[in-house]
Amino acid sequence: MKAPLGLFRKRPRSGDAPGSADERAGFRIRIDPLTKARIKRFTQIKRGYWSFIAISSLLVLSLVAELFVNSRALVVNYEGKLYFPTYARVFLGQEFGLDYKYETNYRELKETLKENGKGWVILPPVPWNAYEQDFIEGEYPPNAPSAERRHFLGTDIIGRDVLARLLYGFRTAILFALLYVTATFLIGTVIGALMGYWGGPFDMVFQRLIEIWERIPFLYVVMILGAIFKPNFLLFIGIFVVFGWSGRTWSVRAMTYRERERDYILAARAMGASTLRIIGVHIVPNVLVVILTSLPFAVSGAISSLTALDYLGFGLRAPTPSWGELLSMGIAQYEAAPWILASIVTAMTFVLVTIAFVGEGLRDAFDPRKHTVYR
Amino acid sequence: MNEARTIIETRGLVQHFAQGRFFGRSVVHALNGVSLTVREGETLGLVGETGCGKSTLARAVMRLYNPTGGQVFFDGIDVTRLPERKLKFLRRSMQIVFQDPADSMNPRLPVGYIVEEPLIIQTRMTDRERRERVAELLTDVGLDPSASMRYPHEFSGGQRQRIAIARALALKPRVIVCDEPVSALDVSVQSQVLNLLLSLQKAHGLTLLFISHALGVVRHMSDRVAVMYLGTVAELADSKAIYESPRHPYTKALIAAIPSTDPTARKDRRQYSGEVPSPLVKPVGCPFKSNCPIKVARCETEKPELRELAPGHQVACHLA
Ligand SMILES: Nc1ncnc2c1ncn2[C@@H]1O[C@H](COP(=O)(O)OP(=O)(O)OP(=O)(O)O)[C@@H](O)[C@H]1O
Ligand code: SF4
Ligand SMILES: [Mg+2]
Repeated sequence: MKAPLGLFRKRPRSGDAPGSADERAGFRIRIDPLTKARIKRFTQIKRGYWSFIAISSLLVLSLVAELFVNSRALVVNYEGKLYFPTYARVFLGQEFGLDYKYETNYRELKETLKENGKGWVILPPVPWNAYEQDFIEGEYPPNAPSAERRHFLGTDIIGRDVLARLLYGFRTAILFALLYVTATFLIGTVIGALMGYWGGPFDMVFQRLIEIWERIPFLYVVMILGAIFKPNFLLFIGIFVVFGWSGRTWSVRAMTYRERERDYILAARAMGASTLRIIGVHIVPNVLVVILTSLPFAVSGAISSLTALDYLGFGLRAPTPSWGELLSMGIAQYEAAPWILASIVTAMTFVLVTIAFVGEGLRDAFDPRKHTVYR
Repeated sequence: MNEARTIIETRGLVQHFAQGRFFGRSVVHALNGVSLTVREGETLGLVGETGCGKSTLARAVMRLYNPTGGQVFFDGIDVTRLPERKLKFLRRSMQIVFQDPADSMNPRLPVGYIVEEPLIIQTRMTDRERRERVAELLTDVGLDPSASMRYPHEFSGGQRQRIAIARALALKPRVIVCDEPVSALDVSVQSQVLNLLLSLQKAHGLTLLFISHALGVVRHMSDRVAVMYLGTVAELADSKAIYESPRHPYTKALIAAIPSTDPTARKDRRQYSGEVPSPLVKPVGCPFKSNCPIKVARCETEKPELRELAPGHQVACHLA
């Protein structure tokens, strides 16, 4: 017997209140046991599982990077009042008794308040943001790593903190990749499923269209468009998606083609199910496996493409923190500032390898050959 | 029984399938003009060897395919060319039970949802009404209502086929097409499922189109029997007449091949032995000609039409 979560545990009699939301949910959107078994198997593949934990933590961390790597203070106590500048409005120097009307420099404020005793400041562990330049008297950037000045990975050639650029660059890259992959997978799945399900002329036309579309040398087009428009983040994703969705259709189309001949699809049609229902309720959940297992590889591919474009100078508008820019700078300055190249190469290797491990783990866990499906 | 009204009728139903694309494109002649009627409340058995088009006929009648030619009538309405949006009444009135219950249910859905789905699609019942109906249906087919929270793979083949039957019954259809409903099951549970079908038929006044290649099963189930060969009906008659006085050479060979339990009653076993012609070749003349022991010149060129030789006994053979 199963756990008494059951829909029919208490069968409502006339006059009873309808089943609780819990019961309703239990009936519909439970994770089915096949998927459960796969998830369980994935958690047992240690390398993939820990890589997944690592990369997701890194992602979450980068989303709140402002708390760790930022020029704004976490907390300011000024004349007995508390301020939390991290996610608040811009505080002008005046407001903390300084003599300027632009945003407070909290590193200076900290020194000032220490001297005049009017309060205190708590700075993030790395009190630099990704854009500001740090000019040290008598020295020229790039500056070597220095715990004292809190440039744990040094600065780049115009004095910006490498750790800050690295972290915010990671955020740009991973968000770009996730948005891009989500959009292309959605579009690709829908079109691929329709091609496979309808077949016939629709399938034919789209196949030819996609074949032609995929002949277009995508990176060159992005470079040209990039040179013309100097695209911002969203426009950039847009261009990538326009050229990236087609590659996602093939596997879904092939799987759908196979599924649609199965009796459960015929049964659904015999009860009058709409195309939308057949694809959404029946086909997509059954072809999701191929989609899911290729997801990590698509993410790392997107990160690499973005980095490559930035490296060549066709990517996101400067001064957006970017891995490609760091990489090209690191290579150009590897003698004068080896810390730049070392940092970016280590970070890229770590991220790409981790994602590859996740992908490998997913593939092993979801591999149908390892999995007995009743027939 | 003879007075019962006709619920399904096919007239010269033709179903072709295209195979391959562009080059080397070929046509599978799955049905080559099938004409038969199913009467309300009866069980029409459909027999024939593998590949003769039984499933195709069932699906074409249910309008899961677009027939290449001929006509299909349901309750007097020509449904041959109706678009899907106008087929709602047909979908409510006719349901299907497939051979392999494992393949006919989405493995990712709980049984409750599988049985409930036709109600979601076709009715305006409330959630609660639907759930009560699902429990009722599961009870009707001899399962515990708690089955609805479990998944198809947690059940045995026989139980799964009961679930498929519950799903087919959900909309209170008038006709259930059973496409070899017990062929995939253990012999020990076959008769249970067959008896369930018979008792449900009695309880709900169902019409059954019962497909099988096992002659014994068909005899047990059917009022009338249609014998198919290579996409055509060779003979159609009352069950008793088919088994006791077959008129078509193919039917005779089939009946003779049934292993008799009584050794003294062994008839002459004119086992026909030839290959069944490929459905890829457009048939000319009698479909059975290459295996017929009594064929004549006429059979090579002229296709025998189904003729009524005795009341209710139709045969497609020039010499019958
Ligand atoms: N969708 C299809 N596309 C192409 N050919 C098909 C299709 N469906 C059936 N056929 C062919 O049509 C012929 C009749 O098939 P059908 O499945 O109706 O036979 P059947 O009598 O049900 O056989 P079985 O006893 O094996 O179930 C076969 O030659 C089959 O290969
Ligand atoms: S029509 Fe001719 S070939 Fe066909 S079954 Fe009759 S005798 Fe045989
Ligand atoms: Mg069949």
